[in-house]
Amino acid sequence: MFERILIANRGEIALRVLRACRRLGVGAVVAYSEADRDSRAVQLADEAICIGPAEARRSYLSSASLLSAALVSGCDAVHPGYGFLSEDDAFAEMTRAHALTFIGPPPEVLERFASKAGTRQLLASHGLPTIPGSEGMLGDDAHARQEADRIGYPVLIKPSAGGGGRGMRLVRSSRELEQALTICRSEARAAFGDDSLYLEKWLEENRHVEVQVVVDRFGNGVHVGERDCSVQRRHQKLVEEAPTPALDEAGRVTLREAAVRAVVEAGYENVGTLEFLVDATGDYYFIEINCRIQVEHPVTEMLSGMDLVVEQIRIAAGEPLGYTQADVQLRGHAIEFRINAEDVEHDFRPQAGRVEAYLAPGGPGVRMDSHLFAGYDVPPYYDSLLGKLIVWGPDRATALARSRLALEELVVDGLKTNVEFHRALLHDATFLDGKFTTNLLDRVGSAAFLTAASAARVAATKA
Amino acid sequence: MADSPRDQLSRLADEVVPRLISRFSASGLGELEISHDGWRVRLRREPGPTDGAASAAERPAESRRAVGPGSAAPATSQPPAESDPKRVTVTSPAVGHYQPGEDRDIGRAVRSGDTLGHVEVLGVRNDVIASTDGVIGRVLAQPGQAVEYGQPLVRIDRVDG
Repeated sequence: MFERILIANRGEIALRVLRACRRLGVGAVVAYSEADRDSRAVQLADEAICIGPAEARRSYLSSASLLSAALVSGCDAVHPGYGFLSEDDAFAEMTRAHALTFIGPPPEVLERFASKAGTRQLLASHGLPTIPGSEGMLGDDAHARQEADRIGYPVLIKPSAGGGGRGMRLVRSSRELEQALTICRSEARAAFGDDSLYLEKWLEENRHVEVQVVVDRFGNGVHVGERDCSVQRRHQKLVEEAPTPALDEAGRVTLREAAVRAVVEAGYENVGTLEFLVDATGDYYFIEINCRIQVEHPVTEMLSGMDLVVEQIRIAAGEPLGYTQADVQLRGHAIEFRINAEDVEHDFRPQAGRVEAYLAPGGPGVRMDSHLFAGYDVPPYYDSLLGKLIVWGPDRATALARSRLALEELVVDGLKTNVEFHRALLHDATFLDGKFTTNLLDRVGSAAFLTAASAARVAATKA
Repeated sequence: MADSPRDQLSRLADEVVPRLISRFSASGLGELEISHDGWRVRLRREPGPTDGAASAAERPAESRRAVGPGSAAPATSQPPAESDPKRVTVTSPAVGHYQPGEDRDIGRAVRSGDTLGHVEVLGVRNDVIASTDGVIGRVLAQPGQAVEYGQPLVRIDRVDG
């Protein structure tokens, strides 16, 4: 097991990784930018090192600064979190070159799965049906237009270097393509330091269902169930839940087993997630694999009792899984609500500012993963995620009922958040009956959605 | 004959730790950790109103602490709040190991743009540049010392000519 891990990330995930380090008795060193000097992870760290100014390019995206921080503080491993350099095979290779262990798949595995098109082909050859997409990264606009025509509109532009909905855009005709490419390139460059893009076919009325896998160095792998992440706004997930209401139990089992079998055969290692689109008939298509811990991992932890970040660290340290698929028990239903600093009434514009009051909800099945505290200044330089509220229940109805109560209890004052939006969502008939698709929020539109859902909420409380 | 674990613990408690505490208290350090032979001792100072012998202008500013129990701030190094415009602190441009340049001792005259030393980051030198004319007033980091971004390295005292 490692002695000391450098946490090369920020916000809520830095705190999450720190907690896993504490659980294992491993020292936790937090690398931070000047904007994160007063963050919760820095306060709790065994040691904290300022690596650069606020700008991500000179801090959280600076391989040299992160590795230098790891070396001067005597770390033997680096946890990259999610986003930033978490799937950068060059960073993973550089980490290894400095005799540090990258907590995630080894560099050659990351490289194997780095190409989205290549991964589709690889996993197709291991039995997964895949979504049509561009061959390799897009070159110039002419190449993009050619590929889009071949795939057939509508197409989704996606960044090669990362995920999380940034740098993504849905394009319905060739007229929209060029401008969308320009916007996506600059978003991707800002978020991941890499503006390469590729295209994917878009299926209307689809659902996003992903399977969590855990594979050790010795080829032992299990799935830990799936998650439904169809509640999205502009391709950014807002709410995730497990198990997926989109498939019956037989369908879920088939998807889970196909995913883990393919990914183990293809040589994956460590914790990862396979993303699928599920269409109206229940057919699934593999889209991509996320070779990192994901924001919504707590949903799976609530169902299984597993600590996925601890598993990441254990596997990277060379430990065998120590359990089989039969040992993985999935119980009940869990839902996660991403709490973001955004102005819902003005196009969900990201907010910065001081958290004047913060009170986390509690009670049976309620988990709050957040780095907030009263007096914390949310910086304007990074993503708007303030934390995640995850609620478990023995069934979906109970999870929904508990979620409603937990969201009523939650207080985040001082800046605008999407809490009210989530409260409204829990009174929306489409969301409640579980039959929503990724079109849910875009179709309804935020202002209209809030008005209608608030009316439903008022009616419900009066009843 | 080797000490029994009980003797070791006794010696640690009665001799080593009290001495460490007294030396630590007399120093300006915020945190000290020592490990040896499977033992590890860590001393951490809560930020207080008056602290050590360093002057107000050079003492690292306290970082803001969270509301809540058990939240001691780890030692941080912020650029000190300079109240004296004649004293300029040059801070580290990167995280790595500091090496002062030659002929950069206290009293040396420097000009704006001069290289005062460098911070080595994974074998790459990041120059530390004087931001003003003046004279080296104080050296705030030692050769080979691990430094973080923004850490005070050298104080330059302006000399009005």
